[in-house]
Amino acid sequence: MALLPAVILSAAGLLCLYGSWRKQPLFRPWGAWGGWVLLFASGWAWSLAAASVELGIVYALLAPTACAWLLVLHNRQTRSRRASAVAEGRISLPALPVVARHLLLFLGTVPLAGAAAAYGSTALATFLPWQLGNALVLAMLVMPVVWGAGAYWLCADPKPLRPTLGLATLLAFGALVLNL
Amino acid sequence: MKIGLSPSLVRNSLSGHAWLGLLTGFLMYLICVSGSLVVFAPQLKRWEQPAATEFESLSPAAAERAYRELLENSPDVSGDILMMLPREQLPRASLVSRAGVWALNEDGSRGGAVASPWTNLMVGLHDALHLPSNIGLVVVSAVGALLCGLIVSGFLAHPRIFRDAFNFRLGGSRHLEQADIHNRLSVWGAPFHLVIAVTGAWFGMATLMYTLFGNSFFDGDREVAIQAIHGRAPELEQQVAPVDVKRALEQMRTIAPDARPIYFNIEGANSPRQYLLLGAQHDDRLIYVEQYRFDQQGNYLGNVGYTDGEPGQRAIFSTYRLHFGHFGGLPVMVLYGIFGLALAVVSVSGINIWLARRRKRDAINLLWSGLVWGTPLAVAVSAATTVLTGTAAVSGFWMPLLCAAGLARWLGDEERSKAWLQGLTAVALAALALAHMAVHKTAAFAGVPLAVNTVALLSAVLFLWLARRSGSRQSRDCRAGLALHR
Repeated sequence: MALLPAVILSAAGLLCLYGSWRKQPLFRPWGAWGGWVLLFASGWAWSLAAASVELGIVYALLAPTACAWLLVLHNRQTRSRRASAVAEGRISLPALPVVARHLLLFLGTVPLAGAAAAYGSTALATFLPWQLGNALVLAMLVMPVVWGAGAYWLCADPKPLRPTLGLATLLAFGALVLNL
Repeated sequence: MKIGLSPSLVRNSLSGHAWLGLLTGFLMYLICVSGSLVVFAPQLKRWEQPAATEFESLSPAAAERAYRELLENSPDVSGDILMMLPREQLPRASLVSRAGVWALNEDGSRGGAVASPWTNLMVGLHDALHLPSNIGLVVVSAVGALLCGLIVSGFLAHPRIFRDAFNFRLGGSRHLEQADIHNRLSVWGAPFHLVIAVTGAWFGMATLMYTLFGNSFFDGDREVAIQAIHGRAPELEQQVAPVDVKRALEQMRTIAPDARPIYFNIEGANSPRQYLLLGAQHDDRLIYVEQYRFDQQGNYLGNVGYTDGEPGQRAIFSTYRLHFGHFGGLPVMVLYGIFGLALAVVSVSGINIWLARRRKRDAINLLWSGLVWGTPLAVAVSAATTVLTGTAAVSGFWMPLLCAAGLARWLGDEERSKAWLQGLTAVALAALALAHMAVHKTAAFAGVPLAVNTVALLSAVLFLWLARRSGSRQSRDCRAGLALHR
């Protein structure tokens, strides 16, 4: 029985967001924030339903995804396919400078960003006033996010030297803190 | 709702998102397809050996018997002796040691061999892309980390992502259709994708990170770094004798009556430091298990602390169940399977968008179509081959995949190759189910094996429908192309 309020809260939260983002008059003034409030509240209901806070949080994150995809599917518009004229061609090999640029980007986004994330997150975690084991676990879990963010910065910045220097500094700072 | 982002940030984010997507797209697709199957690894193992004995629980006396029998046959066995106990999704017991691996009967006597070669093939693809594990694990983890970057850049590249969160336009221009599929699946799936990315990256990065922790904080000792997070092993010095397995298991009823023992491991078997480490699942926790330790006399030494210890310990031991959806029973596993396939669609549609934006068509379009639709074909062919031969080789997956790419290149039309490959997948799936029924006879017609075969047959019907649809689309496109040409 405890499952029902949780499902209702998740679905109601999604419906409010749907109404607000679809600009339906009933939901316009309060739909967006009301939806988020209901989705947050569903975490509490899911925790009760699962008799566990940690499981409740996971269910509260999974349920809106499933509900939203159902709403998206319900909202689909099917149109006739438009065949566009596309030029047929042969694979053209990129010029050497383009290959070199992509190779450098790869070296930046994978080994450099990875090393900077590993050293940087570990070094920063040690500044936390926590038991060492907890800080190291945080470093381990944060590391992929820092790596991903670093890789994104490198790919997106029009001046690639800036993120390269930023990541190299993070790596150097981490190595310095950890080896001092 | 519109996020206020500058046009240059959006433009740069979009270009970064595209670059990262192209770098990881195909690998992510393979990891997601295999991961969606690996979620059901317990069921697939049962399907691969449908005649194996199944039972709800193994009594302490039966576990003791299996262990004693191992010691009688291999008195000097060393290392770890692992006994997997029956659990909800896999009600079978097995014994794993350096002396061999056996299935166990309910009375603890040895059954046949344990063999799940195709499930292991899919696990190998998901974990390490069939590369040597020290390289493959890191590559897969890197893809997980870059998925985090894709999530961040995806949100920054689409200022209307929330306003359009419920729009879904199928048909029309290919670019718009693929963009809608990509954006709708990814925006709502983002919490799941982030969890999968972080926990997935952890599996491969853990080894490297423990080495870094060891070098930085524990005088280069990686093992001490692991113990700082996972707890220290008990320091024992005993006159070597057989471990009292029965006594240890019997005590669990009083130590943790609500916990369900799912395995025990005799660590450092036949050494003075040997002890029994018992893993028991707690239904209200995300941790894989709490571990309970016993000395060789079966005296309880205490738990490791995943239920009541440091939060970091709890968090790190929750990654496995969180990554594979092994909590909440079959409904959550099914949800994880669907969400995993959705992430596979996100990976493919991302590259489709890039292809559509090129405004030209060359061999890359054909090879991509072959690789995408060749993957389910390779999965089905490798499974059917394994059912018929009893062994699974890495080439059993990669050869059909390469052939599919070659076929697509030879056919020279994406829709046509898609239709062909979908049709072939339907045939392979139907053949798989029929081969399984022919090989395993009555055992294939009950319980989980029957369910898996039914899913294979239903998938065959789905692929047949997709093939027909792609075929009619191709004819339409041909007519439209001719009309445009005129």
